[in-house]
Amino acid sequence: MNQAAALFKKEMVEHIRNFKLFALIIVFMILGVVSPLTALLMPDILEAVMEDSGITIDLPPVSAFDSYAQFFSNANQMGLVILVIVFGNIMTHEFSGKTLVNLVTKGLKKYNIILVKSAFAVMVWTAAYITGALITYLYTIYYWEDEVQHLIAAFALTWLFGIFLISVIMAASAILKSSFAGVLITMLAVVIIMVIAGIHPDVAEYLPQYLISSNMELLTGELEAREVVPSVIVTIAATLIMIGASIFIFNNVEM
Amino acid sequence: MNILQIDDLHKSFRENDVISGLDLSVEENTIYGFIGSNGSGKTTTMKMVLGLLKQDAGQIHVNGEKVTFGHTATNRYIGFLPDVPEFYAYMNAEEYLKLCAEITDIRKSGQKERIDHLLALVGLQGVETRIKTYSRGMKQRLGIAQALINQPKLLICDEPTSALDPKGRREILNILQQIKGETTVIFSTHILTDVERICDKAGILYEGKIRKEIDLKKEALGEKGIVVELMPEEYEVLSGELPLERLDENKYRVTGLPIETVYRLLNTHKIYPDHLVRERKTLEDVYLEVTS
Repeated sequence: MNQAAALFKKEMVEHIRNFKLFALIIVFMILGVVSPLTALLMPDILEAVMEDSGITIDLPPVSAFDSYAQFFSNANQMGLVILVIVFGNIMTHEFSGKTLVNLVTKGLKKYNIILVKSAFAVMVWTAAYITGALITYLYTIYYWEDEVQHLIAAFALTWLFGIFLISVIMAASAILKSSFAGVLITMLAVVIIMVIAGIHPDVAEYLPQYLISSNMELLTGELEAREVVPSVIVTIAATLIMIGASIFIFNNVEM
Repeated sequence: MNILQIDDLHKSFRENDVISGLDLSVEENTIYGFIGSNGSGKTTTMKMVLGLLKQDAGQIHVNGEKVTFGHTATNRYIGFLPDVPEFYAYMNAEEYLKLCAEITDIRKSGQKERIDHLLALVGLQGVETRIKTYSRGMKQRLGIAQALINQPKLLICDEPTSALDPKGRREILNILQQIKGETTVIFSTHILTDVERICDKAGILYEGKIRKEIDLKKEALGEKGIVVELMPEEYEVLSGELPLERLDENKYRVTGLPIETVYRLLNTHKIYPDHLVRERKTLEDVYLEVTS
């Protein structure tokens, strides 16, 4: 337990001093602010552009759904990419810098390294994501009074997908020991899941990818919360398997 | 008692046999010089002792406990100084040693005292700047401090002086001499003068095995020859009777003959040179004999 606490503290100091901790939180704060504002201002922007072109269009009134749609669009694309970039080298910079050698030869258990780094990444991801989501939520309820459904579940889907990505990063790093490969494999895993979902729509609802394509359908009530349960279970199982595999592989890595 | 016992150790990388049947035992409270050329397998052996590399065959025991790859239980007896120790550059020395102390489960009340003692030992007390600003020598000294944090029974130093300037080298060797008695030190290097200076015993690793072990404190390394200074006319007289190897203008080395024979011959020819010395072998001579 002491080892885990010491390592967690070290991760915290490292991510504060290299500003990575703030980078992800700031990105999500910006997404949190920009998403509802974009939804709010989009009709005015479009109107101005159209007027200049001499075209008149009738835009439907902007609603809370537009605000959340903007947030999920931004978070599921740019937000997740930034997450992978920030944590893509959380393991591998220790391999390339050989900084773990001193600690492992002091008896630091290898499983503690995987578990603590995963837990730290999950903590930062959670803090950043909640910050962004909360800002969007507060702006949205300030500007609009629409009723949305399953709001917390809709937010939780992207959060869970982020945790799944962290587990892919850990497994890819343990196998390949290269930060570039870690990022690449994570991206590749997402693309493969998307391709599978595209080719076999019937299995799509069981894949992690389904989480980040169901946010808005949950909000509008097109989907019931129970309908995303299979992909939630698969994602949690896949995450646990990835972490377990990372520990097994890392235990057998020669340093 | 042997703090380290290695029996019939084998390790190969692909088809290349790096260690092939290595046997080694190191007694407690000694400094053992582990000599070998670059690529001879010194680091590989040390990493297997630390459980960082998996051996193909053979057994390693540290303080009587078997070393198992992937498990770090025996590392509680060991301190390790890599050839180029790497640290978290954003920390200072005290922060880094505190991290090491916490990892090794040193009780909180004793941490400050231990860290202060080690910082004083390696001359880094009061240095509050971050490690990224340290010179190579300072990093090496911090490396020794981190290796000693858990008061190890065995300190393994992998070429600790090879990347340092003469001043840095002297500092490291002085520190290693100071801690002798507290801990056993295994010291890998290809700088033989360092071994002669501080080691009690040395083993020469060549072609995957310890080819020769030398007790530097007890046994002389042997005689290399007799160096004698001769005038040209004296050389003319003796050259037919003594195997003279020319060293410089008037200096010659006689090898393979006892000194009594040389004295007798010189006396027979009434030759009394100004300079005549028995030349002892250096570790380098022994090393070259073993590896040639």
